[in-house]
Amino acid sequence: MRPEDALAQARLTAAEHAATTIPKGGLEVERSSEPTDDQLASWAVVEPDLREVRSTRGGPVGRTVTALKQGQLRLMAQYHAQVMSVQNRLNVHLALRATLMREDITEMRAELKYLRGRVEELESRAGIVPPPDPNAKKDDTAYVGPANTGWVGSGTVQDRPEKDAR
Amino acid sequence: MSLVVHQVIGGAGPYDAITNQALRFRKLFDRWGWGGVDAAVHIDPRMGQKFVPMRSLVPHPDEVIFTQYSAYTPGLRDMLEAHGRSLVLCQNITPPEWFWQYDPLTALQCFLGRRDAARVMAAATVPAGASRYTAEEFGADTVIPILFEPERYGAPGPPRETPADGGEILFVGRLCPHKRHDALVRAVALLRARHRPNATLRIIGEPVNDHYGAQVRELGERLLGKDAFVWERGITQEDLADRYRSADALCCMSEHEGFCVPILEAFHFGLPVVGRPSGGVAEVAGDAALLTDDEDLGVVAALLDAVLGDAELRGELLERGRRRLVAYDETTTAQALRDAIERVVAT
Repeated sequence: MRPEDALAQARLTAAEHAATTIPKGGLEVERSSEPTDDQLASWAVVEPDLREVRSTRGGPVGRTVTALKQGQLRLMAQYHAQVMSVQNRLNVHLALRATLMREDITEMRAELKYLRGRVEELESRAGIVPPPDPNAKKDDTAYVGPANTGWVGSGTVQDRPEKDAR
Repeated sequence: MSLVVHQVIGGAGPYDAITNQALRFRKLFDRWGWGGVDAAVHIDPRMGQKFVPMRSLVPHPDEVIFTQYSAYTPGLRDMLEAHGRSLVLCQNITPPEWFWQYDPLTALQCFLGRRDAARVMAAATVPAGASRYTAEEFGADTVIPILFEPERYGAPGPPRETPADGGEILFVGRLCPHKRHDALVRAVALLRARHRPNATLRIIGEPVNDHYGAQVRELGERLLGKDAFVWERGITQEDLADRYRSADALCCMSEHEGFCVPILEAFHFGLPVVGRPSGGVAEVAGDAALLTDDEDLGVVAALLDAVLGDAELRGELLERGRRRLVAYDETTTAQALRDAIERVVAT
C-alpha cells in the first residue's frame, strides 16, 4: 500500500471494526479558556498534604529524610495552621470578590445593552437619526437592528434584563 | 566576519532542551570564531560556570543578543528594546487553555509567555521561529529549525521483525495535557482490541505534575494492562536511543507542537510515524508520516496496524523519513542561524 492510500483504507477498516470498543472512563483531556470560579475558590484554600512532603532520594536514606521532614512539620503544625488561616482568609475573600465582580460586569453589560436600545428607540420616535459613526466598533453583545438603518440596538422596555438575584 | 554573540535563555538546566541547544549553538559560534557569553535568568547550580546571570550581561552596542524564547522571561523585553542588535528565535509556547484544569501555574506561565511573545518578537532586529508554523504564529518570516544532530543518538540498529500480533508503540515527550497521552492510550487499546492483541505502548517523559502523571498511568494500566503499558522518566540519552531501537512505530497524538523533535528521532531510528497533523508536526514530517485529525481513534489504530503489518508501506515511509532528515540536516540549520545573525548585523 502507498502512504497516500493508507488513510482512506484506515477509515474503511475502522468502520468495519466499529463494533469492537474499549471501556469508557478515565482521563479525557479537556481545554478550558480560563479557570472557573469554582476552581478559583478551590485553589484559594491552602491545604498542604503531609504525604506530599517527602525526600526525592530513594532507599533507606530517602525514607529517613522523609520521616524527619514529616516529623518536623508535625512539630510546627500549630504555627503553620495559624499562618495558613491568615493566608486563606485573604485568598478566599479575593476569590469571592473576583466572582462577585464578574457577576457585576455581566449585569452591567446587560443593563448597558438595554439602555443603548432605549436611547435609540426614543431618538427614533423623536425623529432624531444619529449619523453613522465610521469608527464605531461592532458590539457583539448588542442587538443589531435592521440592516438598512445601520443602527445598533433597538431594545424595548420588555427587553429590559432582569436583575440577577444574589 | 568576527562577531560577539551573547545568548540569553530563560532557564538553564542539565535536562532542558533549550539549554542543550544553546550549548550546541555556542560550539558553532566557537567554530566560526565568534565570541560572547551565555546568560540565563534562572540557572541550575549543576550548570556550573557555563551560564552567567542575565542581569550581569551588559552588551556593547556592536554586539549581538541571540535569545531562544520558549517561556515568559522577566526583563528580556526591556533588554532587547534597549539594544539595537538582536535575534529572537521563538520555540513556540503552548496555549494556556491546555493547562488551566491540570496545572494552573504552568497555565499562567504560558499565558504570560504568549502575551509577552508578541512584544519580545517586535523588539527583535530579526524575529524568527523554529518552524514555519511558529514563525507565522508569532509574526516572523525567518525560520531556523531545531539543531538536530543524529550522531548524538548513535547508530539506528538493525532492521526489526514486527510480530504478527504485536508491536511496540513509542511516544517520547513530556506528560502534558496537550500531548494527549489519553488519546494515545485509547488508540493503542483499540489497536489491541481490533487488530493486534499483543501490541504494547511505551511512553517516555517527565509529567507536568505528579497528579497528572498518575492519571495517565491509571488510564494506561486500566486500558492496556500493566504488562502492555510502560511509562519511563529521567532516562539517559543512551537508554533513549535503545528505546527507539526496540520500538516498532512512533505515535504522536499531540495537539500542539512547535516543532516535534521525536519525529526526526523516529526517522533517524527507522521508525514509521503515525499521528495528528498539529502545529509544526505536518511541516516537520512532510509526506513521511501518516497523519490524521479524524476524531475516531479507530482510524489511528488502523493506521498503526498498517505500518506494523504492511512491509511495502513501512519501507516507503522509512525511505521518505530518511529524505526528511536531509532537509533538517545540521549544516542547513547552522547556515540558517548564521544568515540570520549576519542579517542582524547588516540591518
